[in-house]
Amino acid sequence: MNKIEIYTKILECGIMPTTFVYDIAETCKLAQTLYDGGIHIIELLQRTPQAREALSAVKKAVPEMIVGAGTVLTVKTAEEAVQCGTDYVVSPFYDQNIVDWCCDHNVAVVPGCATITEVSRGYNSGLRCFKYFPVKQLGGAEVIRQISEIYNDARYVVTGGITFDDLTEYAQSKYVGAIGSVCMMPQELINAHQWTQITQLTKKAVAASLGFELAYVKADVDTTAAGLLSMICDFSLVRSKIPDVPAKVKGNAEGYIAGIYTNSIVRALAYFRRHGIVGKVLTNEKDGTPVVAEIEIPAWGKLQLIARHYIYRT
Amino acid sequence: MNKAEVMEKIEQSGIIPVAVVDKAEKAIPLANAMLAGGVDVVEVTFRTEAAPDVIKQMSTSCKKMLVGAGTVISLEQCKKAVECGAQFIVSPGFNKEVVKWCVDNEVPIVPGCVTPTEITEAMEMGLKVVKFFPCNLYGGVTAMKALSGPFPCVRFIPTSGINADTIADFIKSPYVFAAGGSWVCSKNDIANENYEKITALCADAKKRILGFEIGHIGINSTGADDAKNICMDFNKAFDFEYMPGTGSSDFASKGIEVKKRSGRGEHGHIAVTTNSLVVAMAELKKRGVELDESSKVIKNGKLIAVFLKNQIGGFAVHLMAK
Repeated sequence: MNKIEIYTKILECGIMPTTFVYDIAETCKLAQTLYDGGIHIIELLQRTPQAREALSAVKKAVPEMIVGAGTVLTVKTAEEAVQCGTDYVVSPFYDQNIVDWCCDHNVAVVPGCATITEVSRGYNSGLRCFKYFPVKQLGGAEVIRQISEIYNDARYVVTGGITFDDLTEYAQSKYVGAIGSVCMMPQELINAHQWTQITQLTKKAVAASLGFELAYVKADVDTTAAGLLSMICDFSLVRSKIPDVPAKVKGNAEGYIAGIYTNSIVRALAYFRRHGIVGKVLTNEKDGTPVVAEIEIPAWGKLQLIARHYIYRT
Repeated sequence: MNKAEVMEKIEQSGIIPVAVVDKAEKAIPLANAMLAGGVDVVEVTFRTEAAPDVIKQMSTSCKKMLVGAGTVISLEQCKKAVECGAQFIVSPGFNKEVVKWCVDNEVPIVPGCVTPTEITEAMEMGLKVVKFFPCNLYGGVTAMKALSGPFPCVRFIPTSGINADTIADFIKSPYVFAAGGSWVCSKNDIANENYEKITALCADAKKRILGFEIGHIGINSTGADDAKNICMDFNKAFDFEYMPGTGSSDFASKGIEVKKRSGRGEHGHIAVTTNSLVVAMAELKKRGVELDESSKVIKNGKLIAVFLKNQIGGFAVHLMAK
């Protein structure tokens, strides 16, 4: 996979969990568990002796998984990680040497940035994806929005103590490419090999990242369709009032069974694609961000997907 | 105008309005609206395609306006801005290439610096004023105060989250050089050509920056005993605390100063306080009110008061920092 594809995969997943590697077999199992729950990325922190070897082991055990090397502090570590097959490199700080090496070798790199100056250095090196750490202490979603007024085509992997309670806030931000969080895999569950529980939490995190919500539904939609909708999108259609079609998509809502809000069209289309449902983007914002899309469910009909930030400022 | 004069004018303004101008034809009416409100500095951001033309028109046709370019993120933009007549450059982060070019070409540059490392880089390039952005998210006044500890020579232009209600707090802080903000000429107000509103908001901001208020009243007396007696009369009537002074005055509360001898002013003097002496002195000059330069009171190397040349109603009047 080339680096453009890797960056795309990161944005499509929207969640980028990191883990310490203490036992390679356990890490492989963890990767499989995350994969089964809908997260197809794992970043292995290069802080333990086994971490480097784990890169190739996880890739072998779960071939579809995007495996990254985290806490890369030197060019040497980056080089070694790439030799072990890492898909991307993450550094906690902005280091021009690591960035330059990765750019020269066509390796996807997500450097840690904490100020506009650091983002600008990465941007001028051609990067468009940055880690913003620690996001909660350095301005939260609002700072990402403000930086994006300057660099509107960059996206951020926000990290630093993000819990389930914070997921929605960051997932709704147009400029947050992915959330670096370990909320779906607390260390005690990993230690106790509670894989079923981790799968459940993973699904919960994925749902929060997608943020599906019913925007509108055609009044005559039958109960089978309603049931299907609820299965796909994990929401209940039992509502006392059917929501109105949002004014911004009103003219284009003809022919759809329902409209669904999502935090990100990119994430939503990737999610449906994994479930064998194809779709396409219909409207992009000026800066190229997709905001309206449609998916077609065979033998049933078309659904409209609407980016939440397109309707509400988030 | 040379580099020092440009920076002086920014400091004297107290505010750098940040303008996002969508169309070049709005440049002149916008500049005039701001000038009518008493604001003569503007940062036109490079966030719109019209920016170079806006800068060109303003700098050619509105000579009273000091026009700078903001959100400059590349050397190419920087050169373009200067070519169009921008008199200063503001960048959101510290871009060494841009800073170096500006320093080499005597163009005033205010780069965004928010960490000690970034401030050090700016100092190494000889800069003394940096932008602190986004101010509200990176710790506000408290953060700038903390940073001015190790960097006492550096002053900040905070931007983001500053509005009419908070600007006075920023201006009062000695480490704030001037405050950046867009509330006086919001994107919407410019887009909708609400020029009267922009004039009113500029005038209001200027008023709040100046923050003129009566500080105290000065009474002349015939000598030390007389001064004490006057203070005690206020104490008897109003419980104003008698505060004997070691210098030339006693006080009856902070609001009444009694000179121990005949002082300035036929009837005495009035102190008017302000958030910024620099802004206030420049503003009085613009308003044709002369100052008595010889009356400047300097304490620990810092100007703390200055008298107006002429009395008002028999009172000498002096400015004083809050």
